[in-house]
Order: sequence, then C-alpha cells, then structure tokens
Amino acid sequence: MAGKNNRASSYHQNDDILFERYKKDPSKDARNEIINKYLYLPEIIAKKFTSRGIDYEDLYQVACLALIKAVERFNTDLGVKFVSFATPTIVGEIKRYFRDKGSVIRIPRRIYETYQKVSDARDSLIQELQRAPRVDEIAARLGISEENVLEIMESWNAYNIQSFEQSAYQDEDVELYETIGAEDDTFEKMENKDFIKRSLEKFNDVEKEFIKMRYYHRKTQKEIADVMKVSQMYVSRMERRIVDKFRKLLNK
Amino acid sequence: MDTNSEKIELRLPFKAEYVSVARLTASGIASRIGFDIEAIEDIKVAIAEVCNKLVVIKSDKSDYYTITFNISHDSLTIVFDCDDDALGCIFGDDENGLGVSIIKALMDDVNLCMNEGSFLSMTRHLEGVN
Repeated sequence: MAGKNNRASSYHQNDDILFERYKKDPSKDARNEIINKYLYLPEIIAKKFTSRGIDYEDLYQVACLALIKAVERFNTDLGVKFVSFATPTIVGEIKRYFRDKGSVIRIPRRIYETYQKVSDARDSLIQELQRAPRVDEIAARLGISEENVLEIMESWNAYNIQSFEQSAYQDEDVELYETIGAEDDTFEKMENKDFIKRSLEKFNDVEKEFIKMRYYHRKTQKEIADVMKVSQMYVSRMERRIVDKFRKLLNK
Repeated sequence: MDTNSEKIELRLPFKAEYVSVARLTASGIASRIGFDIEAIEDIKVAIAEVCNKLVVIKSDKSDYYTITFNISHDSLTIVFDCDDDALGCIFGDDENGLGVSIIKALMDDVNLCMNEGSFLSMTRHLEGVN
C-alpha cells in the first residue's frame, strides 16, 4: 500500500479523497464535485465521434450520462485512475448509442460492423490509387467477400437518413423541409379575386346582393327568395342568368 | 462485339420492395465487368430511378417487368421490358423531368422510348477501355 501511495500523484490522492467522501455521503453535491472535475472527458470523447451522423450535442449528452455512470461504478480499491476507468466507459456508451439509436433503420450486425471498415478502406484506396477503387480491391484489402462489400454499399443510404428537420446547409438555420418547393396558388387566388371584383361591376345591386348571399354566405335559393320576398322560381332564373353572365365574362 | 456479350435477365413484380433486389443484382454484375464503386453507385441510382417510375405508373401490381443486363467486356447495357405494350414511353410525360435528367447524367447512352414493349435502355461504358 505504501508503494502505491508513493507512486500515486497528489492528483490521484485527491481523487481518492473525493471518491471516499462520495462513498460515505452519496449526495448529489459530492458527485457533482467529481463530475465537474472530469467534465472535460465527455467533451474530448464526444468530439472524436462527430461527423458520423449524430450531432455533437447528442453525443455530449450521452457521454455526460456515461460519466455519471462511471462515477457510480468506480471503485477506488481497484487501484486504477478514474480517467482510465471512465474513458472506456464513455467510449462504450457512445458506441452503444450509435448502434442502438444512431440509425433509424436497423442494419444486420454483420454489415454494421464492416460498414465502417469498408468506408475507411474506400477513402484510403481513393488516395492510394488516385481513382475510385473497384469492389474486388476493397474486398481484398479487408479480406471479405465481394458480395459482402456490395451488400454494404447497398445499405449505405440506410445510414444517411435525412431528417426533414435537419439543417439544410451548414451553419444556417434553414431546415430541410423549408427548402422543399410547393405549388404556390396565391397568384391564381389573386387573379381570381381580381376577376370577380372586376366582373361584379357589371352586375346590378340586386344581382350583387344575390351573389353575396348565395356564394359568400352559402344560403339556399329558398332562403334568398324569402329575404328578397320573391318566389324561388325567380331566384332560380336569376341564378342561371348570373352564372351565364359570369361564364361569358370568364371566356372573354 | 456481340459475340462476347452475355445476358442476365431479372423478372420482377411491379412492387417497390423489389427495387433493392434490382440494385443489388446490378451492382454484382457491374462489379464483375470491372466498374469501380462510383460507377456502380451511378448505375444503381439510374436503375432505381427507372424501377421506381415503373412501380409508380403501373397500377396492376400482379404483372411483371424484365430487366435485361447485356454484359460485354467493356460496357453494361440495361434494358427494361414488359409484356404490357400499353405502358409505352414511361418518361413520355416528363422528358425533361428530374428522373430523366438523372439517368442521362449517370449513364452514357440512354434510349428513352423504344418499341415493342421495351420502355428504356441505357448503357454505361467502362472508362479507359475504349
């Protein structure tokens, strides 16, 4: 024990004290003290896993949770530094997150595990050959079958699932769905509105009143007849006349 | 050199779930000819474009279409056929549409409207062998 204490840095001894305190008093404050000291770990580790399809913020969160787990599980009696214990724990949690949550479409494990290797082999072969590699070249490099490489290529697009809510361009607050075009019927609406407005000028007041009640307020011919104190027959004839007139104006 | 050419035929139902089968088959054939992975991706995308179009426009899903892969030592020609002549030019309505533009950009020779039940044929040449 004495030897171990001599080797250990004061930093390490500090850790022992911190963990000892946390063991005696498992309060949030005691735990937070340790976590604050090591918060740089999730940051470095999460950064290493960026640009693989999951946002840094998400990875950082997973890594922080992993750090908490590491603090909970750490045993000072093991005689290892906390950093040596926490790092693989955090890396493991991130890898598990990639496996379980990273991809919307689950890919067979066999393909998942070779996916990264094929991707790396492709990149390095492009550099070495100064051209795009062939499937047999990738297969030979990794010692796997060509069919396997082809299957992985087919599953590539399953990895890069695009979310409608991801940002369309880097560093811009435009989300992908906002860039998708749609038929804009505003112009047609405006033209129609304008047409109706101009056409209405050619109708007399009674006709205008009828149009308003019939087409804007959706009243029945019977209701309009009652309001105008005329027969429904008369209203019906008026409607036919108005529709004819509109049709003529429209065809002009 | 027609004497060197060989054919592989694939008969598929007009169903979206089999498009991936066509893509995977094509990738195997293209790899055998010696296309690099970029070219294989291009060929797969072009095939998927045609297949997806076929699947969308054909309402009778119980029917089949045939993809013929004509393999030569330096090129791959893919022909799409169906017994149903009524389908005719599948891209007839949008010759300049995105689908056609993609196919033309990815393949070397594209024949859009063919006779007697063939919808389309497209060829990709192996680079550097001409």
